[in-house]
Amino acid sequence: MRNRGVTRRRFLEQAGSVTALGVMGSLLPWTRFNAAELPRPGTADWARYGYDLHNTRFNANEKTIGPGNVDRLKLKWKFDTLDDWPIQTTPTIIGDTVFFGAGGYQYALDSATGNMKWRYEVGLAGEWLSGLKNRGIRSSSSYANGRVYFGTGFCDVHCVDTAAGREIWKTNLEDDKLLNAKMGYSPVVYNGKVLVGWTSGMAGIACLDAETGAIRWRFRVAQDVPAENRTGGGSLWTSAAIDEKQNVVFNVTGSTKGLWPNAMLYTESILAHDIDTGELLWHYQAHPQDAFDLDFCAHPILFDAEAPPRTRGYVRPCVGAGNKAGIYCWNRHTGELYWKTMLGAGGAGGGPRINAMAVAYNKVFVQNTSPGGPPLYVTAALNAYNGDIEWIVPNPSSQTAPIAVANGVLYQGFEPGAKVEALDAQTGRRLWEYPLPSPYRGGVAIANGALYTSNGEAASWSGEDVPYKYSVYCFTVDGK
Amino acid sequence: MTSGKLHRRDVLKGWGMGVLALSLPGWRLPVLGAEPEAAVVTIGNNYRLGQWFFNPAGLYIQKGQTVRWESRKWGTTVTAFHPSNGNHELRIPENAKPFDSGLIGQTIQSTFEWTFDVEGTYDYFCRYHEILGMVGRIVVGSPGGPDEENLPGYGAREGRTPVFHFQAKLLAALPSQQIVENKTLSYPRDLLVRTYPYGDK
Repeated sequence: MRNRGVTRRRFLEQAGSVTALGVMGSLLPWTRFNAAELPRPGTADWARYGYDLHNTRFNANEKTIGPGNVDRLKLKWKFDTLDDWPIQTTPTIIGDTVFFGAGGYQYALDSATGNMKWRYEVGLAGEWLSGLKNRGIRSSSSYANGRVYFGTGFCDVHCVDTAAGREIWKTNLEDDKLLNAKMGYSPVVYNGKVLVGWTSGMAGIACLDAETGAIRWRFRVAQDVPAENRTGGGSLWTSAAIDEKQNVVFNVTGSTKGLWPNAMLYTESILAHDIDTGELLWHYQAHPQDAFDLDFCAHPILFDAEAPPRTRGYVRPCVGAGNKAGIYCWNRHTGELYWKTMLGAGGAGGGPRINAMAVAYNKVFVQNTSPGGPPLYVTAALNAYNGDIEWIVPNPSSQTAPIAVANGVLYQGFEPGAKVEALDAQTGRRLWEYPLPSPYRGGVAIANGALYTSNGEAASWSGEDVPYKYSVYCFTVDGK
Repeated sequence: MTSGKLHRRDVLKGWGMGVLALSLPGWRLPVLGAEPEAAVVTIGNNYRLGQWFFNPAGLYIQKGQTVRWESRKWGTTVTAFHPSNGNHELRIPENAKPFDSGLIGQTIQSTFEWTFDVEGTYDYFCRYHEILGMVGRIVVGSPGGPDEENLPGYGAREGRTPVFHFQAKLLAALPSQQIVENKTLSYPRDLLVRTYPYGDK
């Protein structure tokens, strides 16, 4: 039917106005958000995987749950994943909202009730479910400026607005399927940039623009291995730490995938890069040309370590990290090794996997697994200045998940005999535990008077049907 | 009820269906003199000892038989000692076609098959772990060829790629005659043990 009321001129005028408004809207990024829908920050949020830019996994603002009442923690709510996919990420808590990724979805939940606010599908569709285990989201979300950033099992980085769960940008960092690239690394957002790393036959580090996702610089780890080999390795399993004063980003790398008659430089190393330019400032390679799979599998952590009273006055500017053979502490400005401590025999399945380290109260907390020979599972507090053991307690089984500290309490969990538990951070005394239906993998976040954790699966999981759900759990004192 | 009389058309249809069914792989009946099944070699590693290996490391097969390598780990290759493969010295029969699987393992192509039509002795390696002594030997029919005439490393005089110490050590532990007699020689797990790197650098 003909529209008699609209002349050609009027139609063009209206079309032009609509187009102009659309163009203006696209040029003003803040118009995409309704401020009222953004999460309302709390007083003790947990905004990213490592808690802060230094990766301490220590929430110094949390004052509600402590050694005196942690044994009264009760389940307040739990939320089951929609696609029955294990959870391997630490929840991100911003006031009234919990963000986490699992399987094919990024979720936003109401932190008070566990009700879902929105979900964002990463768009993996069919192929990822068949024969490609661990292609689901394993990268914990980073929250910054009304957005969450995370990676996927196909090495994409997503930026999603937190008001309604809409995609702002997506950048792929490796599309060569033969390289088997994945991202378990949790992005770090700092000063308009997003720093990421990935696992792959030829792993790398990249700096993206936080607004557009454009790649500013990238660094291939095993640079002395020909690219066509696809076996340089050097995977990044963790997340970066940032030195804001020096504008430096620290990353740690994994083992080589093949053995070449050279150093396999930058594998099994800590790397310090200039954030703006990507210039490599220093590196420390713990094991050159290593056939023993001694990945650095616990994130870099920045801290200033105070000397014991006998040598008072000294402060060491440290960066620490853990590999499958020990815990290391370097001078973060020079790369000089201050100390190294081993809590068991090293080996492919050993060490503080994955990111089972935290720093607080001038202590480096470590949950360590040593499966080779006689198995030995322990948790220890090391003096941050010299690596001496201040306390150490035996554990019932092994772990593959991050730990966390808040208000005098250390939180950790186990893979077999799955549970999450709380220890006194000053003594190692056990204070509370809660059994989980399957391994503790994603870690714990303590924020705004609540404890958030989840259950996942061990690395050997390959999509079997199980009689339980994968859930995010929220605990509060007396469940209130 | 239909007539019990058998029509010519029905007989032909039945024969046709039978022939079709027998042509499907799963329905084939064993026939005397048919090709032997593929021999299987497992590709694996032991991080604790710093080892990557083919197991069995030594294998005897008949001429025309197929070998299937099955990988349990990402990042390996099955590559014949041949000048066309990274300028390695010739350690397969001179008139045999060289093989190279390309990258295999886990989430990509996880198996590689090769049919050996020429008799003789074949040495092969993994491109990315040969420094650890990741080599294997196959004797097809009866031992013979350059492999039997030369010790590993002879190609250095021709400007070929060096043979690493661990490769030579493992090949020395795989005498062809013993492979023929035993049919398989397992990877010797105690032969190539590296010192565990407790210290740094």
